[in-house]
Amino acid sequence: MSARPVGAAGGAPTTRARASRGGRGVRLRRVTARAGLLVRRRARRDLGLLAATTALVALAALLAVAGPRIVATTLDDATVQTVRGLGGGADPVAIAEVRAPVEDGPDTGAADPATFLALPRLADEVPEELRAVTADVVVSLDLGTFAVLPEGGGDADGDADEAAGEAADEAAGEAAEDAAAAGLPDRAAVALLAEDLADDVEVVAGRLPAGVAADGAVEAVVPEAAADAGLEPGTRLALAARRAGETGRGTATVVVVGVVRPADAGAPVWRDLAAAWAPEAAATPPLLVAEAGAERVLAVTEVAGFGVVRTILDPEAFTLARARAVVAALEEVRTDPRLLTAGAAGVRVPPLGLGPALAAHLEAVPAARAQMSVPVAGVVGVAALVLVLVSRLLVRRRAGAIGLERARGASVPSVVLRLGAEALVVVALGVAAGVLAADRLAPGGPAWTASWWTLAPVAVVGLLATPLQGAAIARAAWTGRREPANRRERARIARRRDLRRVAAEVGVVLLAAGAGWSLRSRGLVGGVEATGGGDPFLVVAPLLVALAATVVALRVYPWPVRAAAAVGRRSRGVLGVVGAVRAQRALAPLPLLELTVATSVAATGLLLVHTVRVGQEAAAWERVGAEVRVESPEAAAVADAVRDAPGVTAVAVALTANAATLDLGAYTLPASLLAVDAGYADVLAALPDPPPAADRAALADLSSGAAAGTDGELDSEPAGRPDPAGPIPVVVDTALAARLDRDDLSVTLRGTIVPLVVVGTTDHAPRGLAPGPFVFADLGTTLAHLDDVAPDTVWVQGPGAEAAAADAAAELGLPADAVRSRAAWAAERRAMALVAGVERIMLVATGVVGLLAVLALGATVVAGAGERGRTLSLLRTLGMRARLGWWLALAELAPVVLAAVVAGSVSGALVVLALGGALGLDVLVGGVDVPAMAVSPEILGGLCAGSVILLLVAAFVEVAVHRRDRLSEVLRVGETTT
Amino acid sequence: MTATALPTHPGAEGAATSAHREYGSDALIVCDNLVRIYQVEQIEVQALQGLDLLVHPGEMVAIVGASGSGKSTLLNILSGLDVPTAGRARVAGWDLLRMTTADRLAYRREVVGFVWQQTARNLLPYLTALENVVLPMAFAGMRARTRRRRAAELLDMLGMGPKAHRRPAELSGGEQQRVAVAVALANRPQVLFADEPTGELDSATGDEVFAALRAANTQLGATVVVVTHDEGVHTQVQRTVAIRDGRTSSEVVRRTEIDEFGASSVVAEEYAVLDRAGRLQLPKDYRAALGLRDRVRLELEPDHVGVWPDGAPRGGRPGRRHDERSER
Repeated sequence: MSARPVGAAGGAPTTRARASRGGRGVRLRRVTARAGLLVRRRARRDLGLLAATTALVALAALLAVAGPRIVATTLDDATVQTVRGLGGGADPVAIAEVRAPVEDGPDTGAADPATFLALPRLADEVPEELRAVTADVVVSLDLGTFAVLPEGGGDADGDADEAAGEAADEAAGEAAEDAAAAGLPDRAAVALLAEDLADDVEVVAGRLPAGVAADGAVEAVVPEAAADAGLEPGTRLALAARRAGETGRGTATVVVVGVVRPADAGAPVWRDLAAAWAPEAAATPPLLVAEAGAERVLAVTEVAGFGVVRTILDPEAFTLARARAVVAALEEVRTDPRLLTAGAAGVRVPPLGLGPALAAHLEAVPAARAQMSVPVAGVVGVAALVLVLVSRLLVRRRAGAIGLERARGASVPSVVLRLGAEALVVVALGVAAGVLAADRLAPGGPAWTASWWTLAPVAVVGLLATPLQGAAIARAAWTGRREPANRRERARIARRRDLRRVAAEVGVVLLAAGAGWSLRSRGLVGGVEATGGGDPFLVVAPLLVALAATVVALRVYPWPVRAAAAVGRRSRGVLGVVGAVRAQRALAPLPLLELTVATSVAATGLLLVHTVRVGQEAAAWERVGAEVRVESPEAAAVADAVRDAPGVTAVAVALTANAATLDLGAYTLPASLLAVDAGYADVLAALPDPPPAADRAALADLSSGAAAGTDGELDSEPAGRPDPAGPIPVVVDTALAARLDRDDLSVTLRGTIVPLVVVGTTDHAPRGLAPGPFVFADLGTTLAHLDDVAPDTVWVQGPGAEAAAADAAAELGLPADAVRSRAAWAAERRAMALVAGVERIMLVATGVVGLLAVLALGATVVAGAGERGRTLSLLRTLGMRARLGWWLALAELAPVVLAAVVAGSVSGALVVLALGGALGLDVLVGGVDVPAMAVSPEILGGLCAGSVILLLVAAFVEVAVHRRDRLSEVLRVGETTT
Repeated sequence: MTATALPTHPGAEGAATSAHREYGSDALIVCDNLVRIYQVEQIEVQALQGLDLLVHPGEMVAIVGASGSGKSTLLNILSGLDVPTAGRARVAGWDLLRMTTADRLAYRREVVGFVWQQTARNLLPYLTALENVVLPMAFAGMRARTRRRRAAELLDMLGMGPKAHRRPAELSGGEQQRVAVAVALANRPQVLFADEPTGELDSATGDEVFAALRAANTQLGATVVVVTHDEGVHTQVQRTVAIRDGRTSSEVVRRTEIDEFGASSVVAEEYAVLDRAGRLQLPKDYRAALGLRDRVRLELEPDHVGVWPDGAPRGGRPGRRHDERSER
C-alpha cells in the first residue's frame, strides 16, 4: 500500500482521502500486471469463441480484400473486352510510303528508300505505355507488284541504267510472254518476311530466305498457293518494275528457296500480309524476302512501296490503369507523332481508333465503380457489425471475470490492454487468413494493400470491438455514479438523457438525409485515388441511410409490439402472455442495426439489379425502335417479305438520314430526318410505351396525305395530296419547333436540296435511334424528290418479327449484322463485362449479406439462449411443455427480424430512389436517359420470405440448443448448462 | 433482551459526554443517516432509510437481516460498488460519497477486500490459487518477488499452502472461499467485507471459512464485516448488527466474563439501537406481546424509560408525561 489516506481511523475527520499514484514504474506495473498470463489462460478457456471470432475476422478480411479486387478485375475485364471489340483496327501503326521519284516534282511527303528500309528499327520506338500492352510489333514492307521475266529476260542485278526507255518496256512485255510460256505467273508481288516472323511460318519445302544468294539473286519463299503458279524451290525469275520504262530502272533476279505456310493465317501478325495467304494470291504470288533481299529489290527497282509498323495490341494485357496510361500516351502521340515515328521523315501516324474508344470506356468507369463499391461497402459494413455482435458474446461471457478483476483493483486501461492484446492477435491471424483466402479465391487484381479502405475498417472494428465493450462493462461494474435524492432532480437527469438520445437520433437522420440530398444534387463525381478510385461519400451514404432507418425503427418498434402484445394478452393460454412480454423486452439495438443494414444492402442490390434489367428492356426498345430493325438498301424487299409472315403485326419502311443538314434560312442545323411510310404509326402503337395517339396520328397523316398540323403554332394550310415538285410536308419534334421562326425550310439530303414545309409538331423523338432533332416526312413524297435513293430501314413488330426478319435476310442474302432484334440487343448488353460484372457483384453481395445475417441471428440467439433457458425451465415448472420453447425464441426474434426487414427494405428503397441518379445507372442500361427507379414488390416479398425462413431456422436451433437442458440444474444454477 | 440501551458503539461509554466531537470520529466505518433510493422507471425503492452504523478498528462484525432489509445495499456502498443517495459514509477516512473514479480504484486496491457468496465469483477459474492471490497485488503495482512471498504466506496462514497451485475447479467450496479470503487480504486491506461467505457451504465447511475470517481479524488486524443470513453467526463474531427496513434495529454484543470461580463464559446482550434523532425500534414480538401500536406512553424513571401501551393503567409510582418533562 503506497499511501495512507489522511484522516484515517483515529485521526482528524476528513471529507476525502487521496488516491495514491505511485511512481512511473508502479503505474506501468499496474496497467501491465500479469497481462500475459491472464490473456493466455483466458484465451485457452474461450478458445472456441476466439476461433469463431478469428474466422469471422478472416471472412470479413476476405470480403474486404476480395470485394475491391473483384471490382478492379471487373473493370479490367471490361477494358479488355473494349479493346478486344475494337479488333485489329485499334492497333497503333506508323505508315511509310516510298514512291518513284519525280524530278522537279512536288514533295509528296513520301519516305525515302533508306527510311523505308529502316522501318523495322521503329519497332524499338514504341512508347513504354504502349509496350506494356503490346503483344508484338510487326513490320510489313510491301515492295509492290512486278512483271515476272524468266531469268535472263532482263538486265539482271541492278544493271538497270542500260535498260532504258521504250526498249526496256517492250523487253518487259516480251519477257512476260516468255514467262507465261514457261508456266510462270506474269506478275508477282514482293514483300518482306521479317526475321521475327520466322516462327510464325511453317516451311513446307526448302528453307527460309537468308537474304541475297552468292550469285546476287534475291532469295525468296512463296506461299503454298503460289506453288500452284509454278513457283517452287529453285525457280529463278527476274522481276521488272511495271513502269521501269519511266524510271529507267532495271530488274532484280529472285530465286525461290522455299515454300511456306502460316502457322495461323488469322494471327494478328499477318494483319498486313493477310492477302499473301489467300488462295487468290496464286494469281499474283507474293515473294517473301528477307530484309537484305528487300533492300536489294528496292535498290534495283526503286518503285512504290508501302510499309507498316504495326503495334499489335494484346487485349489481355490491358488493365484499367494501363488503359489510362495508354490513353495519355496516345494523346501525346496524336499531338506529336514523332513519339511513334522517331521523327523519321515521310512516316505518318493515321488517326488511332484506340484512344477515343478507351476514353469512352474510361468515362463509364466511375459509374460502374460506384455501382460496385456500394454493395462491397455494404457487405464489409455488415461483416463489421457481425464482428461486433460476436465480440459482444465474448465480452458477455467474460463479464464476471472483468467485474472480478475490477474488484481486485484492475484499472479500466489494464482491462482494455489485456483485451486489446488478445484482439490484436485475433485480428492479425484473421486478416492474414482472410488475405490468403482472398489470394486463393479472387486471384489477380491489385495487391491486398490496395484494399486498405475496406480492410482498415474491418481491422479497426476487430481491434476495438472487444476492448471497448470490455471497457464499458468494466466501467459499469464500479461506476460510482451518485443518484440525487431529489426525485425531481432524478427526473431532470432522465429528461436530459432522453433529450441527448433524441438529439443524437435526429442528428443521424439529418446526416443521412443530408448525405442523400447532397449526392442527389451533385451526382456522380470522379473517383478518389486513395480509395481505389471509389467515391467514399457515395459508399458511406447507404450505410448512413440504413443507420437512420434503424434509429427510426427503434423509436417506432414499441408501438406495434405493444398493440400486438395487447392482443396476445387476451389470448388463452400462457403463450400469448409470455410472448407479449418477451417481444416487448427483446429489442436490442445492435442486432436490429445489423439485420437492418443487411436487409438494406440486399434490398438495394436487388432493386438496382431489377432497375437495370427493366431499364435495359426499355432501352432495347429505344435503341432498336421495334421488335426487329433491318438496315439494308433492300429494305423495301425485306418489308414485302415479312409483311405477311405469321406473327408480324406491323411493318414500317423508312429512309433515315441521321446527319441531314437543315437549312433554317439564317443558319443550318444538323438534324435527323426520318421519312416513314404509313406503317410507322402502327409500329409506334405496338411499342410497350407508345407515344400519345395525337403524335401517332400526326405522323400517320403525313402518309395519308392529310398532313394537317396537330399543334396550332406552326400549322400551315392542309396540304392535301402534296405536289411532287413542291415542298415536302414535315412534322418536327418540339425541340426543333422551338427554334423555328418559319415554316418553309430545306434539307440537304444525299446531295439534293429538298424544300420542306412544317405542318405540325410532335413530342415523339426516338433519340435512341438518332441524335435528333427530328424531322418526320412521308417516305413516298421524299423518295419522289430524290434520284436513285431507296429506303434503308425496316421496323417489324409482333411475336413473329424476329423469325420473319431472319428468314427474309437469309433469303435476300443480307449480312448478319443487318438484322437487329430488341431481344438480341438486350442480351448483348447484359453480356457486357461491365454490366454483367456489376450485376454479379450485386447478387453476390446479396447472398453474402444473407449469410452474414444468418450469423448475426445465430449470435443473437446464442446471446439470449441462457436467459431463455432459465425462463423456459421456470415456465416448465408451471406446466408449459418443453417443446414449446421455440415460442419464446420466436416471440423475441420475430419482432426484431420483422422490424429489420421493414426498416431495411424501406432503407434499400430509399437508397435506390435517392442515390440511383448518382450511381450513373444509364451506363449499365445503355438507354437514352437515366432509368427510372423500379421498386419491385416481388423483391420485397422475397426478402420477407427469406427472413421468415431465417427465423424458423433460428427457432429450430434454439429448440435444439435447449433440448438437453436439465430442468433442476438450470433452475439451481440460474443459467442454461449448454 | 435484557435491557434497552443507547450506545453509539459498544465500549464507548464516554461518547455521550464528548458531544463536541464528530459522530463516529474514532470509528473506522461510519454510516450516518445513510439513505439509498433506487428508482426503476416510475417505481421508487428506499433500500436504506437513514441507517446509522459505527465499526471500530479491529472489530469483527456481522450484519444480519431479512431479505430486502438493506444489508447487501449497505455492503455495496461500503465496498465502493454503490453510492448512497444521501447521508454520510466514511471508511478509513475515505468519504464514499465524494470519491472520484481514481479514488475508487485506489480504495479497492488499498483499503478494502471482498469475499462474495458464490465461490465462482471470487476466483478467476483459469488461475491457480497462488495466481489468484498474486493478482490484486499485481494490480496494485507490487513487485513480483514481494507479491509471490506475500501470497505464499497468506495461503499458508489459511491452510491452503499445499494446494497453492491448484485451480479453483480442483478445490472444494470451503477451500475456494479460504483462497478468496487470501485474495481479499492480499493488499493488506484495513477492512474485509464478506457477503454471505458461507451461504453455499455446509456448516462444517462454513466454520472453516469463519476461522479464516477470524484469523484475518486476529492475526492480521483487519476489521471484518460479514453480511449473513446465518442465525448462528453471532457465536462467531463479537458484534451482530441487525438491519430491518433499511435501518439498524438491534445489536447483539458478545463478551467474555470470568466469574468469581475463575470460570469464563460468553455473555451475549441484545441492544436496541437508538439513532441520532432519538428514534428507537422495538422488536416486533415485544410490540405484539404488549399490544404496542400507534402510540405508547413513556415514563422516565431514574435509571430507565418505561414504555406502556396507550390506555394501560398507570403504575404505582406517580408517572409524568414525557412531553411535559421534556418541556421543563
